[in-house]
Amino acid sequence: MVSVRKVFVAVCVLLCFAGASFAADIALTSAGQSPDAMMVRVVLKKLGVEADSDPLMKPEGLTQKILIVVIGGSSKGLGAAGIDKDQEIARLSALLKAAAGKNVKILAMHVGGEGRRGKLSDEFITAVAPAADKLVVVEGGNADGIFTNLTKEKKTPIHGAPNVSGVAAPLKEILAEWGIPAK
Amino acid sequence: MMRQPAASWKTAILLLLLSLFVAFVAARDFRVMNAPDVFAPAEGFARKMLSEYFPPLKGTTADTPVFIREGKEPGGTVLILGGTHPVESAGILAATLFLENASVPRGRLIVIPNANAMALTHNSPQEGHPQRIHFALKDGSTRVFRYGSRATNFTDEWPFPEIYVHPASGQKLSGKERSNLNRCYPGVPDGSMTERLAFAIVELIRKEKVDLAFDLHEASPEYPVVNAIVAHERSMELAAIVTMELEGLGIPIRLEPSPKNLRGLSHREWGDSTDVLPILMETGNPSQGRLRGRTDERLVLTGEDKAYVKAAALGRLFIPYEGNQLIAYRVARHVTAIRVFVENLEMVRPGKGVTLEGIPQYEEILKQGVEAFLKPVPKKREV
Repeated sequence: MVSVRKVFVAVCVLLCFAGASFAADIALTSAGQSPDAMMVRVVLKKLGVEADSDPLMKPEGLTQKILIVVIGGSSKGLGAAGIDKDQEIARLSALLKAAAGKNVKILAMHVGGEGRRGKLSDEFITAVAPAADKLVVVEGGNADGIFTNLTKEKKTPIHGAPNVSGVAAPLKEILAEWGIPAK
Repeated sequence: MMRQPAASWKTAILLLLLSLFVAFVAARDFRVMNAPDVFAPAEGFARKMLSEYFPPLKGTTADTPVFIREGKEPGGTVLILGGTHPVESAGILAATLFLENASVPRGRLIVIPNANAMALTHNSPQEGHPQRIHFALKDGSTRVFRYGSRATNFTDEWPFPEIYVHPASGQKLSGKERSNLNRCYPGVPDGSMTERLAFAIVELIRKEKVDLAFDLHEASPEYPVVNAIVAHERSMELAAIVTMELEGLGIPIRLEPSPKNLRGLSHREWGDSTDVLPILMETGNPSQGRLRGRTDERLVLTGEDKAYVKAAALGRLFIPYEGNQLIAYRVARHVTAIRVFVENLEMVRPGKGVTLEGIPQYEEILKQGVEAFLKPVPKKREV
């Protein structure tokens, strides 16, 4: 008779494989807990691209090929998540380090324009932009050259967009380049 | 014993009469604020009272009209709440524009233009606010809207506690916040008048199975959450879609999440207590702010204030301010945002879409003013 333990192990192994096969190719997270990540999720949906979205994604949850980090600080959002700015930066540092270690492509996006800049957002920009492989920045977000300066050394390509709806075009192009077809 | 000179008796009597006269005029002025505003609902709206959802409210100053229009085709239900804070006139006027212009082919529309009627019966002390705002209509008549207070009248909510402990969470706030409807949700059936009012509104949302509900506000230009949508996590996807569409229409709006640890507010408690998708919206209104100068009807209607011009130049404001914030602009923002939300409701609640027709477009409100979409009403005030 097959022991209960063996059955349990078999079920666990099957569930692991099932989980792996259902995971999307893209992981979507926030840097600063603003709702801008939700807007990028809506754009991805419109492009017919599935993403595993978790605003508080941790390194151990990163099994995808691409990591999209949507930058934008919101004190209300941080409060809602029950974390502070320093905890968020620590989470992001660990996540970006894990992504680099697993050869996961990193796309940093800033879709809030000038309105989503300021002391709080700038700290998240500083934490994320240097680690990105590519950036998409909505008009006004890079008016003072913060993204340009932070990525100068690495020569990271920065794609512009007129507004959040307009990020669909560069997003589609980048994802296609990284092997993810979009509508 | 010395005799008082006759002149001093005369002066005393004169001063006494003068005091009585001032008291009479002030009392009459105070009492006249009790006369409700008159609305001219579009055809098909049924008028109910909030007390029908929570009978203990009947006959109290908290009871307020609820207007419901049912479409021929079944769908979802949308609630628009104006006047949570009656100093935030754009909310009342946006709700009124829906009430007086909307036809509803599909689903249902519920409008409560004066959510906190108890805050409409007085002004905030020492703020120098006007008592009313006026709109001249094309037919020569005038529409009058009261400009009340942020808080429930002292005569309905007295005495204040030193500290207001929010009953559902234990959160501690300043005592006066117990008279702020948007700190009292989900309400208490046997609580203070404002808590009972909050309870009645939540009962309405529950009993009418409201799918999407709006709480319309205004905020000072120096406050970070202005020209903004605040959304419960359940509403966030819909709010993100709407934010993008509004941006495409040239109406940039900030989207903020409802903090889980800030209790008593509509965008948090409506969502936690019912199945509704709650949305709170703010426009920028200099007559709300602390930097403002003379606070009169002109300021409420135009938003023109030289101190705000200076503040904008110093980069201290959270809205683009070019010398004014017209009431038409503030109302147009609310009306257009609601329209876009309703148009996208079906996407997140399949089978619960609502169709609204007859709603003025953004540019129409900007060009023709709010008054072009207000209907004439009988001169005698409804009681």
